[in-house]
Amino acid sequence: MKPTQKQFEEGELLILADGKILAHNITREMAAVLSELDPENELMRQRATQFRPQACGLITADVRRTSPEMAGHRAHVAGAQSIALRVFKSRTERSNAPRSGDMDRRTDEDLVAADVRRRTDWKHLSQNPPPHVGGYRYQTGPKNK
Amino acid sequence: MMTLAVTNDFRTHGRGRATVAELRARLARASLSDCQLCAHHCGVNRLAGERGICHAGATARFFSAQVEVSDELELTPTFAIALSGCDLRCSFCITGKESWNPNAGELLDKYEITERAIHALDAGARTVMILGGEPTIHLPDALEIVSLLPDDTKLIWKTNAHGSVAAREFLDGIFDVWLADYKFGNDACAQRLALVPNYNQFVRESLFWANEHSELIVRHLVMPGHAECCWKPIAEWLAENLPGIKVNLRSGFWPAWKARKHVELCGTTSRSETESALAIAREFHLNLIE
Repeated sequence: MKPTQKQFEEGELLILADGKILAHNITREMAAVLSELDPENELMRQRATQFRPQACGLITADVRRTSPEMAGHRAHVAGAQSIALRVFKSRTERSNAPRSGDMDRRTDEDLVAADVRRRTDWKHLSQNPPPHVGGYRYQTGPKNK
Repeated sequence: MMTLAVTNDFRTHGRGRATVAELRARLARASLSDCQLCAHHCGVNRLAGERGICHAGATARFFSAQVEVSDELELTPTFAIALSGCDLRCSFCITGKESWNPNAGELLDKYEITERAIHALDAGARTVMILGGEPTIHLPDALEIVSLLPDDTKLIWKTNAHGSVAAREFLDGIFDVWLADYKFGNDACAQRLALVPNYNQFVRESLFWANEHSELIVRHLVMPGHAECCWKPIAEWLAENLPGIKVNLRSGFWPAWKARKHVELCGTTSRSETESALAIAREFHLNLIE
């Protein structure tokens, strides 16, 4: 394989402010994650387990470990240009969500949609995160004299 | 226009698909000197560097090649090869950056890509899908890929169904399934949103042909504000002309690329619009698949 070629698979997610998630070019690993978010969705489960389910399991485990605020949430697949997925936020629905260990759970108000802007300009590089996580050299205290 | 020297009788004469695809690939490449592959019929000499509406040259590039599971369940997992460039200019195209630019992505190495496809098949992929952009504008390269794949590979041709008669002759009997995207139910919307004239006439011709020559699955993406003007006429036409055909109604419109140029395409499809689209499908007794 040429060194210039992509060595990884790619999918795209669009997470809207209301919790709706749109997914495009769903790989098996992404399907596993989406299935984790919506365990009752049979279609997504089928997509996740169609191909090398053992690999999907590994990815799912990683997600549980690194994103505890997302793992275990119930969601509902609503259909998509590829697939759309709605993360429910009501307490009733969340109370029915499968628990995964003793992971800390953030309140509904703390849920933050991912920054899906393409990081093509300097302001959005990982070294320059947006202000709500302390970026843009934003200072909250008194300025240095 | 070039006359095909290869007939479509390879199945009855014992010729393998790969052999026929190789022969047709040569003819298709020669036909680029007077390109008539899509319904725009530009007639430019792509071999000499001229460019038509799609801006594609003589060589294909690809922007994605990977195993995916987001297509129809009966086709997945599929090794999907996405070729750069398209003959339509859909402002809401989810891969607009690559689909509007045939120079996007990497140069297609047919040997390498088929090696990856075969590896994916060995690992459990059920099909190989060639898509775009629009693969029709890169038909020689698509046929070359087919010529290197085992004859028993299940092949999917994912298309906007805006190809020409000449392109269909090259494709006859090559692909097992045509996955055709029927986007607009009226020509006014097609012209406004994709800059394509006489859209429905060409697409309907393609769908009739594809249904006779292979298995056909028709897709439609419900666009915000277009359930009545686009989806309903399509549903009605499918019910009348291709009854029982498999239809996949996609409801998760993504306001991508230049969708914001059109006020109704700035958001996603609402729940009520999705339900309305499903009601239309039920009204016309369409054979919906996932």
